[in-house]
Amino acid sequence: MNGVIEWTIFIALSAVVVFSAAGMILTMSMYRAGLALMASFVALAGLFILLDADLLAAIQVMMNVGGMLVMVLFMVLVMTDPGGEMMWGMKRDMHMPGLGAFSMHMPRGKPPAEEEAPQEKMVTAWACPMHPEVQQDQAGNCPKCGMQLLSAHDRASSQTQDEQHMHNAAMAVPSPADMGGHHGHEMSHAMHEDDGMVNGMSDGEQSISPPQTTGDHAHMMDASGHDGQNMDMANHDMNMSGMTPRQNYQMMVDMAMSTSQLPWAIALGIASALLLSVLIVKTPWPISLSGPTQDATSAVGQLLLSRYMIGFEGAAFLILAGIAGAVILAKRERPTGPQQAEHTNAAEARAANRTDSEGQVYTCPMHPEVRQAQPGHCPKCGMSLIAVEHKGSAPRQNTQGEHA
Amino acid sequence: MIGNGERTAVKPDTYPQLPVRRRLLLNRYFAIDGGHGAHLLAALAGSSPYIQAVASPRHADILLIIAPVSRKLVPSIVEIAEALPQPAHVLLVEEQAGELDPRAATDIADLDELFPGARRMKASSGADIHDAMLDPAPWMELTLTEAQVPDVETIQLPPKPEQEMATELVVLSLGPIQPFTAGPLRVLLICDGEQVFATQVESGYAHRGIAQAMLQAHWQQALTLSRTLDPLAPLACQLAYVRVLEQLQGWQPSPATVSMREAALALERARNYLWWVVRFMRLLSDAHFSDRSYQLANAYEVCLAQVWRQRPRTWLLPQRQEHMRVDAAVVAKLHRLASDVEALCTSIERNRWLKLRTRGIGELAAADLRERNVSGPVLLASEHGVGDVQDRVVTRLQQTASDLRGAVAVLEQHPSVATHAAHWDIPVGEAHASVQGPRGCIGIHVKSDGGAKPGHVEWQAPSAALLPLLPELLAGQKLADAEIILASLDLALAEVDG
Amino acid sequence: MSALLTSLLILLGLCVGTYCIAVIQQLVLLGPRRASAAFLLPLASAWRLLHQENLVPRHADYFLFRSAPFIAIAVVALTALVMPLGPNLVGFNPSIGLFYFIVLLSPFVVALMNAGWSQNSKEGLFSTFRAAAYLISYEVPIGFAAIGPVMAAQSLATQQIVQSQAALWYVVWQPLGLVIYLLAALFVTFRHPFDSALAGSELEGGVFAEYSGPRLLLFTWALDAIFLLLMGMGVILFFGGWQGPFLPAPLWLAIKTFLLAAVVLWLGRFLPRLRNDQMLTLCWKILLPASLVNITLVGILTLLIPGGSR
Repeated sequence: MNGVIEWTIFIALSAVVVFSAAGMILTMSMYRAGLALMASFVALAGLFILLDADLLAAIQVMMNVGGMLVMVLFMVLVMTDPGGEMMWGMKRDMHMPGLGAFSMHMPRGKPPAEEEAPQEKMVTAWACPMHPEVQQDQAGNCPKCGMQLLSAHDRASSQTQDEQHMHNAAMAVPSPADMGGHHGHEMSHAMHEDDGMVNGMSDGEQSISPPQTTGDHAHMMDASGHDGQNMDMANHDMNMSGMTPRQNYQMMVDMAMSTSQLPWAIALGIASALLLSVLIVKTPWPISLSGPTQDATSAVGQLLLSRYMIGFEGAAFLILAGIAGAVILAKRERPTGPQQAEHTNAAEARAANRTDSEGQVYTCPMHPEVRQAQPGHCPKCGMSLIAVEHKGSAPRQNTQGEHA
Repeated sequence: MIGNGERTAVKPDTYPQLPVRRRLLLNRYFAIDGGHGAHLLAALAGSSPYIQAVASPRHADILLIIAPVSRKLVPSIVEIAEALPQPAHVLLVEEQAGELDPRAATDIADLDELFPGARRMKASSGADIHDAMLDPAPWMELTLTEAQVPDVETIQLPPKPEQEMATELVVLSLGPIQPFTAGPLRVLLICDGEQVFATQVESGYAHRGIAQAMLQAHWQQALTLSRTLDPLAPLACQLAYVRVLEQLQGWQPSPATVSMREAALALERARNYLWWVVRFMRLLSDAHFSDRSYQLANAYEVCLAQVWRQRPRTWLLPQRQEHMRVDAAVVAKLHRLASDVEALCTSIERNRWLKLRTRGIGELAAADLRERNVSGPVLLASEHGVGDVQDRVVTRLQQTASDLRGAVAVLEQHPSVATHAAHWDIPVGEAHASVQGPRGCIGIHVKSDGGAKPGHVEWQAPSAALLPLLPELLAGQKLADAEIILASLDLALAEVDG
Repeated sequence: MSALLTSLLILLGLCVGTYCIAVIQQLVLLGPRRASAAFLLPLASAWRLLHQENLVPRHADYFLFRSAPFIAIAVVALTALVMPLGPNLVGFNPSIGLFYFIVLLSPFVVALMNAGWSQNSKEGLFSTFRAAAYLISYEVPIGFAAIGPVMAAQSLATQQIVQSQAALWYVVWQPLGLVIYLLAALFVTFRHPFDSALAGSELEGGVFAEYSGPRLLLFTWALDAIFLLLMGMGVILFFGGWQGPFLPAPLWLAIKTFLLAAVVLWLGRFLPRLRNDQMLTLCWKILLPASLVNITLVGILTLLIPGGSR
């Protein structure tokens, strides 16, 4: 092939490889990340074709498209983290620094000690931080988005000092126009929930979705007070009004796009890359110098051990490492064991102090037939009772905590 | 339905601006049926290759609305209209025989106000609509005001038993404009993946207030209103009304008249069954059977129009008796049609591939149905077989054949009858009558206080007994099956909502 | 002929061939009496779609919604390059021609999945997952069905496969392979009766629900084109490709392809739309064992028939 054409194609394909791989890291959407990885590998296959390694290119495409696809499917099905367009939109609107997934880190330091629920005046107006037009006389969840309603006192108070040092903790509010359409994008899933039309049932679903973010950990986004103030990224002590430091910590844990094992993952990735680079330079095994021929099917074994091996096998190795890392190193921040009890005690304390509507019922996560008016322990299994959601039915067990 | 198009405008100089002409070859339409138009739409859909029905409003350029539509349906109509890509046009169709006076029934929406530039027409058959769509005269484009974000509704989800792997329920809103029923019905399918976990049914989208309107009208005007209770089976409703009036008057029609009326009723039932089969096969996307049944249904429509020298609705009046004249040649054609229907029935019964989608799906027990006052082909299917979808299809076709043969027998016999004019004075009293309509027993209960207007009118629609069955019937079914089951029940929402 | 010109010729042939497939589809639907309508309708439909507004739903995935049609078209174009139109007419003739063709079918379905995902609606999501399930399911049967001719020709190169059928077409002694291949091909292209992911009545258009205007045109073009390519490859694998007397080679390929497409589409009329799980049952419980049996049979037959390119 003509040299210029070959160079052009090489540069184009390499650009796709590199930028797709970068895009995979930088995007917040799981689906897009899997797709970007697919695109990167398909472009890599193109590079193989340039090297006349047709068979390897085809195998590359076949394995990786199929494999990435299954990976994306399982990510979407199993993980309940937020991701996708909503997060991107929020991040963009809040002008948060940092690229993609690196911008919202896990909060540093220990979780703050549990404290009393914030003092509340007896106020009569409870409104949703995202939908100020929703007003109720009692606490509960917003019928539109499922978030917990805030009292007027909570909304009115602005910058509460937080003793915890938060890194990039502030979350300003996107303009109401933006959030107005975000009905369906509420917190919990990476699956693109729907647009707000006749199919707008997603909000009903919100109330019994796995409550990483609903229920106890409502996203307290203050619609009224914070517009310009939290844009200041230098102010690390900002937190949302009306939340206890504990709640704030939980919220940041939920929102974080990375785990506290991220440094380990980075180290592992760099180590693997270094190892592979050394191997490709040194190639400490016998190399067959014969190039690929037509019908290279018979020579695949030899080819695989030659210089193509690194490009091909190394990619597979990295993928395996990534998947293993994702599965094994998945977020462990959901408190387990004694922290769990502390967590639910906190929930009880908050619930007890809340100005509730009458009929707040508590039930056991494992025995939905046990219903009590006061918090306590289940007579059948001894687990702490949790409050029934206002807008839904039996509460969801926080399965992430147990399977972490 | 889908909606919420954020209009990414096509720049006008990118593509040549199309002059507002309708002489384009291909028209894709999205049909909105207010309850009156199931047969019109079924006839239209296969009539010409230049007119295609599409499933998604985004693919359409004509919005076809069969008036009248209820007020409750208007938000959905607006949403669908907003989803249409420009250039779009609106065609409002009224049935030719539509005598529904908008002043009488107050729940009817004013579509002219909603779509000021829409083209109006009256149609008695699919061919009329077809010609109107291909009309070369210029149409006005659909213009909409600022798209409003509709309020997000919420429902309460049923509790779900705990599972090892927590899954989340998704709510699919089927409707209100959906192809599975004749008329708008909203079914919220709460699904766990592809399996329906629970159902919530919301009706009332075809409500026109017929019963109340009948109270405001004189006895004679109420007759025309009664025909519109079930616009797909007007004769059945008219006959029910006539019977109840004759009961109040204490007058017995002669056996010949009774058999003539039954023949007319049977012919109308056959018409309903045939169009139902067409719609059902189209839903299953079975091209072979839908073509065959479409040909049959079309041929039947032609026959039906020619059978009676005077249309039944002119002589189905209280105490009206006269000698009916029928066209003998057409009666012979009906005979042949009956055999064709039987042939279709046997081939459907024996078809292995169709059984994949219909056998063993949606079984209903006959005892259950009788308890709930279900009647008609659904009950018959459960009595004679297992009561699954296959049985319902076959039962309807068998009923068609037997109805046709029965009607033919009566018409050939041509009994003579003493003439008697219609009488409209109704004495005081209370009466109840019922009629075997195409979907079951249509009942009417009337109280008269001797005046010029009815005192109390109450209808019992056969489809209304089926609606409460839906939640338990659909729970646990796969999504595709749930929709086929819904279609197999042949619900006509116009009669349910009144 | 230089490779570049050949490739351009192939792409042109793709456009014309797609039109012909659309015509054949209409003919099968309408019957031979409405032939004039069948020829006009695809053009009229394309014209109408070009003049329609190009809507993007609110909160659709920015990149995926817009790029999905183009990814589909790019994959189609790449796939078309390995189709041999004649003895010396092939755009790209790698030693692994057939394998290249089959692996490129996966990104095509991925493009459709992107379309469904990016629409930000529940119907789209359902279709996406259905499409993903089908993608994973049909890969093995179609691979095994295609391996029959490969074993017989002892080469993956498409030219080689065609030339080795000079004595006897493979359909004669590998009919099971043909059937499996055609069924899997219907899966890929989301054709009736396997169009559950596009289901009109259930899912209101499925992956294409929110597409309108030129983007929808690109998608329908891509679907028809990939169907054409699959039928063409079926002809190459089982019906002797471009071989035939008197007429020039590309014409033979075209005729055979359209005939095969017509037969397949016509046979599909007799089936209702299969349900999601029925399609998966077909793939895993029927086609997969059948394809293993097919490979065994073909292997045995290849070994039994002594020598030559049989």
